[in-house]
Amino acid sequence: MPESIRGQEPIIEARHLVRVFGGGRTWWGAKKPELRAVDGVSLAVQPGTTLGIVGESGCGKSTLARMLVGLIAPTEGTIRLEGRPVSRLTGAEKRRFHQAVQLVFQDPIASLNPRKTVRQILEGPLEALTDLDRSARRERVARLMDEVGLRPEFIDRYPHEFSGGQAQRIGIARALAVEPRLIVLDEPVSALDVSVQAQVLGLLKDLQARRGLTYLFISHDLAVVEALATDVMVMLRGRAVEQGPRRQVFEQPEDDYTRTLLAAVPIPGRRHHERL
Amino acid sequence: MASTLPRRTSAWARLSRNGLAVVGLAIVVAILAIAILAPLLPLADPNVTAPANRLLPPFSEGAWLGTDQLGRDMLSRLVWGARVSIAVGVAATLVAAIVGSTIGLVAAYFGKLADNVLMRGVDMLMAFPYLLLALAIVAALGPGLLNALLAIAVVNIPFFARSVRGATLGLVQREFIEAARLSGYSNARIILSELFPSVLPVIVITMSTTVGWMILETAGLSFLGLGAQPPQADLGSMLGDGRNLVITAPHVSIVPGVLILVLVIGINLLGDGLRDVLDPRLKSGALSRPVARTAVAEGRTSGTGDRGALLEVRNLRTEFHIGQRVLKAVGGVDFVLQPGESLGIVGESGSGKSVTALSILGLVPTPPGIVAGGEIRFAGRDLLRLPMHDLQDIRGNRIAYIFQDPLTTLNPLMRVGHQVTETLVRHQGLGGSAARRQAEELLDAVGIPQPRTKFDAFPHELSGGQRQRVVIAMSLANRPDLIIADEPTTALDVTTQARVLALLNDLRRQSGAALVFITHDLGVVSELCERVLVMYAGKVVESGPVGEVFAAPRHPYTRALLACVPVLGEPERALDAIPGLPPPVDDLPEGCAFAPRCPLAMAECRRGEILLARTGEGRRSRCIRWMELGDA
Repeated sequence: MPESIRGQEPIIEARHLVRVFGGGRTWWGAKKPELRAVDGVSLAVQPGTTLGIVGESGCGKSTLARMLVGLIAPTEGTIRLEGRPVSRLTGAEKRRFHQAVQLVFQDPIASLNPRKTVRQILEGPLEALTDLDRSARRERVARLMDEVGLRPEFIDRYPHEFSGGQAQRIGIARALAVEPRLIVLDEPVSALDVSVQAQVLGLLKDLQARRGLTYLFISHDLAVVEALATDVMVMLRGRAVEQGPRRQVFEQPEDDYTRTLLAAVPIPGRRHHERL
Repeated sequence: MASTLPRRTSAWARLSRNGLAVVGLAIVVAILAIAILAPLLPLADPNVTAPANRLLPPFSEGAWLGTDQLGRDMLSRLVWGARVSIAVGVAATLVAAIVGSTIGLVAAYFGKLADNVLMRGVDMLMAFPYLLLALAIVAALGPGLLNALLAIAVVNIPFFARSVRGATLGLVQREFIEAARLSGYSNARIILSELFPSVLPVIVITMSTTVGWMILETAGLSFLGLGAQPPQADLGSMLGDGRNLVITAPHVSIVPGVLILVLVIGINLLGDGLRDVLDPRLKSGALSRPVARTAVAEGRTSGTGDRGALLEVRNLRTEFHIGQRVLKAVGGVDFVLQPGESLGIVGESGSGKSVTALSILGLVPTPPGIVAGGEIRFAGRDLLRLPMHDLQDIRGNRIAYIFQDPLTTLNPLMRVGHQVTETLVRHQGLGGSAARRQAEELLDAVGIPQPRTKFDAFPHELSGGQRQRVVIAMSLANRPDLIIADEPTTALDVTTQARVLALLNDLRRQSGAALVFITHDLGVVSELCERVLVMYAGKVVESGPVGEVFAAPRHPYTRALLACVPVLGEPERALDAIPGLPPPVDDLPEGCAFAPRCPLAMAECRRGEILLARTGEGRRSRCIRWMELGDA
């Protein structure tokens, strides 16, 4: 399992995470069906790197993301943020955690409240999580808009007035607002058209270089993960079947499933289904 | 397709289109105005008795609606009584709405124990007959208007609690609520600022549909002598007063009775109208029913073309007419498909690729879609002019469709085998057992394990890949000449996609069917197709053999599209994003639609129509500078 091998303390470290849905017993003592969505996953992410998590639908990657950002509690296992254990978060501790870790969602439109303006959406986390006063918040929001490439006049518009790519820029700005160290990106470009996907991927690379951000990038698209990640984890049925530096996983995969996955990706200008 | 959704019209405009709702609104406004203005109207004192003038009939001197058994002026009592009844009904509605909505929001947001305790309490309220419960409350608290109000409010809390809880449950799992949690919002703030505004329409709908009912209930309690106490008038107590005089002086009960009737009808008409306006499902057009075939504009030219071709599409223009806007989803598409050929249509969302495919068999929903021009010939027959009956013989028979999401294509209540036999029975006229045998063979051919058992499975019992295999089996059932597949593997996992594509390719080659394959995935096109059409803003911008087009694109859009897709095995390659967004199809620029985003654009590109010109053997490009792109 990955340890702090590079001599630096990982930003986030998870040990043997398990999340069970369902389970328990009925009133009559019969067992209810249970699903182990995540089944013993350990990971560590070094500051300034990107861990890409790939897997097919139902492999538990989104559940893992939600545990890492504190939206759902793990059934078993521990999460450490910069060395400090994260368990039942309350009050100030919760505030500190959300200041350090934020999430970008898959569906850019659904993750924005349709009844709020961009300004309200971006100022919300600043109000709740920071001590910035009104003018400092306004200044920060204006800077964020600029940083993610949104025109200043968009600030009083509502989410439905934006295209998918623009909405995802708002989602990224919201995650960036409190200046977190780690951003978990759950399929952030899957809902976007390819030309817009490239714009958003470029923005993410840019922001990482400028701010020294750490990413945990979840996707079903291997090519996208390959383009962005420094390390990769492949998930299958709740488990990590392969983990390692990007080059190693993509060029010399050790696990059969990783090989199947890589072989299945269609490539523009190439015909290769005969391989399967 | 997103751009083809009807735009929201203003709430008032939609309400005013509903004639009955407007009548209801007029009734309610008129009665409310009179009730509110009662103190200012020149009315007699409603409580002054005049035994000498008792039971005057309507239209008497000085008493338009007559007098009651104590000689009180009926008109005055009616107006003041309506004032009381409406005030109590509305107040009870507000109380029930506030308490019930709070219960619903809290129960749904916190779930588990809170939900159980609150909703079981609501269930207990609902378990008593409402009148009995109201009577019990009034009996405990004593008669009087205020207590009647409380009783009615309590009885109606469950309606609000249940509908608000239902609406909230659908929202709590939504991503913007998760985002609010991550933004550090407190529970109270999430309920008040994120959830409440979103369920407000539900609350308003429930209020508008229950307020009439609550006015009736107020009248009911007063009628029984438990609400308004003498001498105060309300519509219910007036009815009660008239009860014994129905034979001798019917106007004493008829007058308040008619007002209750008119008032409640008015409120209900308005309430139904409001519900239609506010309900998001109705707002998104659930009430508009598309006809069985896309409308076709008159006056198209008919010509003769390629005789050997299987499918010939000439200058196809499909538009969506929504209000004042005309969305030119397909703006003049031409292509020819030879028997057995496989053609890929690629483009981003809104490029018109799906609408092109749907236009072929008239599957674009009308309203709002219309084929505004062009020609579609299949095996020499003009599909746009074919009688409906002949078109139905082609649909699912000579031309088969495979759509993106098998879960919505398959009927969830029908066994998958029967969905395959359905098309065999319809088009080949096979009998029950023969159809079943053939369906099992088809399921076997598409690689469904244990086809005999799986024949009786329901769609939800199969995996996503197996469901799409069933759809492929259906499409192949009648050995079609042409299969149109619209993003058939986009909803599938990459390993499943690879197997389904391989299957589709093998079966198509065996049966010799031609294929039109629509996708946004350039890799998938390369895998499956011989020729490709690249679409942008409703037009074909480039066409040619897949390998050649992708190796040496002759349109800047194709080149830009290829440059911005991350390719497995080439992580170091810079992704060159295309700046800007595609133009909206109801506001296309003059000249080349790609010019605003194109690095090669010059003044000429923005003038006049750019034609799709031949650039080589089997290749075409809609660019005047294609030669400068080089065959790199």
